[in-house]
Amino acid sequence: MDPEQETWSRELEKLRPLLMLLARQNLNPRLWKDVDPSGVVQETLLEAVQGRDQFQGNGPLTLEGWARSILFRNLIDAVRRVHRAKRDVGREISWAAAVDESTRRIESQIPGKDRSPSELAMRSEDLMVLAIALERLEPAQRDAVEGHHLQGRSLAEVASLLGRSEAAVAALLHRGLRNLTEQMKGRG
Amino acid sequence: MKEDPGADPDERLGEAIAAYMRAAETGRPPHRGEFLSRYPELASELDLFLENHHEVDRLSRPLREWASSAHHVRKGQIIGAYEILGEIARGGMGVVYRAKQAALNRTVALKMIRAGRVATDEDVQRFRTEAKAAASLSHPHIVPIYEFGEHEGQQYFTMELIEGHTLDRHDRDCISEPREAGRLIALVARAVHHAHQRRIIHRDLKPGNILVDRAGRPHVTDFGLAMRVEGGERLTESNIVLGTLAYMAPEQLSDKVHPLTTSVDIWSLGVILYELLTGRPPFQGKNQIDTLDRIRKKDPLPPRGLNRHLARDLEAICLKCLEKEPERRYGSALGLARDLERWLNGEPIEARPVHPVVRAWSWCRRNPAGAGFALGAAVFLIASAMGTMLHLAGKRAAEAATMKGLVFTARFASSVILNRIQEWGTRVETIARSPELVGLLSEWRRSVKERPSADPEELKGRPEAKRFRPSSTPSPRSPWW
Repeated sequence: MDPEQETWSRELEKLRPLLMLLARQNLNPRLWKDVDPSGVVQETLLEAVQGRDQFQGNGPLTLEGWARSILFRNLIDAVRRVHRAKRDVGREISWAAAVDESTRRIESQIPGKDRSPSELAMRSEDLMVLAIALERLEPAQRDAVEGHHLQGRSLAEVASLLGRSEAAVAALLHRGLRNLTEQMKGRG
Repeated sequence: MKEDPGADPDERLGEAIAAYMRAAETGRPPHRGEFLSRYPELASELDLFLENHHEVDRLSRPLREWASSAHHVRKGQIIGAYEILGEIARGGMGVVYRAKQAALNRTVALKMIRAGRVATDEDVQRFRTEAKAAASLSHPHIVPIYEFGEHEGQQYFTMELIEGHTLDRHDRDCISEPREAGRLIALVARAVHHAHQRRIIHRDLKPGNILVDRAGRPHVTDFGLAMRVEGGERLTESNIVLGTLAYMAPEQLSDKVHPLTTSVDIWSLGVILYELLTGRPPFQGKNQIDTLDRIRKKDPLPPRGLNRHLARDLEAICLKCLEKEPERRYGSALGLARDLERWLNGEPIEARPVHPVVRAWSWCRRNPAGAGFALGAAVFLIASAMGTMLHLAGKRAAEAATMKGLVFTARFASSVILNRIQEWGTRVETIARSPELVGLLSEWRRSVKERPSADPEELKGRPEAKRFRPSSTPSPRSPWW
């Protein structure tokens, strides 16, 4: 493989945890069965790996901002696809509401004219550490931490999403946060 | 929780953290020291939680803010003829700003789609709907629309700025003042009736969409989900269930396609009234699915069960709005308004409490499977109870007969035995007295005396015989041996 292309792939691969975090943050967990966040991230990275020329012609965007915009576009496409495919099947209301919410969240993050996605880049270092530590958590703990801290949901909402009691989610959150901070300290 | 010392420590830790989070979500997190002192045995764990929670919250904040601040309109920004003064409210779809219209020297409320330029056609359509629907209405209790505009491809509209608050933040004194709740809902119902007369169904009536100005007058707003009932022109077209679940009528949540009528708004008014009177919504589930199920199938707890000071008539009015079948509710929002006004004036109302039999029948209609099951179960229970009774009765009768037989037999047997004993006793007596036997006996005695040493060996060898023989037993060969 072309060494430059290889470096390019490696650089993009480093973004995987952050892209995963963003995908999970913005896609309502009720939809994960229909739209797998890791599948969309994989698709995004493949697209980015092949689109090196496109990126270079794309002006001031950082690599991360560019990858993020591809991710959000792919996410919204995926959500609309499952929505179209399943809306006639008489899905439950919570599913439809989850589609609605995810659509709003994702769309609001697709960069517009006056908003550069690189705004977030300044804080990316911290976020990347967080993203990597989150990847290593037990899934149940990760769901609780992400639901509360990244998706900004109330305890009751997270409990309803995860189908657990509020006390159980609070306990998961406690263990998740403890493991998460230990991981991050270990890295720092 | 703290009060339950028997609970598992993990569970108690979870409960303690949950209590903290719930308090923090209402904007009043307990003071750290005070919180820890409430759970002395968990203090070190809870302290660790607070520290980690704070740290992760700090790290993730930019991400959360970045996600929520997309297309943020800044203070001082000029949009059309308006200057943005600040944000008032943020809903699911739109954001409302306070804005100044310099030309007319007035302050207005300006609403924009939250998702901004990337809003779907559906969003834009819904947004236009709201402006169009509200603009076609003119009522003192409906927020009037001023202007619809577009700024750099982003649509907005302006409306009268109501200084006050939404009904969900309204003084909760309503709960102790049912007349105030009745007065507010009566006014809102009249406004809703005005919209209904213009063939507009609001579909999303909830406390958050009712503004109460400083003089205490309610104003209906947010016609974003409004629907026109005439000629099939539906203002909002969406395949997603819209509205806020807790205030939605059962027919809005039905799997079947129902033509929605103005009754859905009457239902929502009933929910709002219920909430004002009791402090809680009538249908509150553990989660959305549970709430949905309650709205569809369960009867609400009568408001007087939660607030016993409520007047029966007001309760009847509220419950009439919450009838599952639309045709059992008030025929119009005006009907509701008038009934509330009658109650406020101390006149007899039209709503009457539903008879339990009617309630049971309508329950059966709502739950055909349940009713079928209940009927089946009842039939089975009655049948098996009757079967058991018959079986037991039969068994008991048989037992009684057997017993009777046994008693009879026993009595018969004992009387026969007694008779025989008596008979034999008499015979023995007769025989003992017979002169023949007396003669024989005295002869035998004499012969024994005359031969005292007769066969002494034999007597020695059979001492019993010796002892026995002289006895005066009438006869060893009784007639019945």
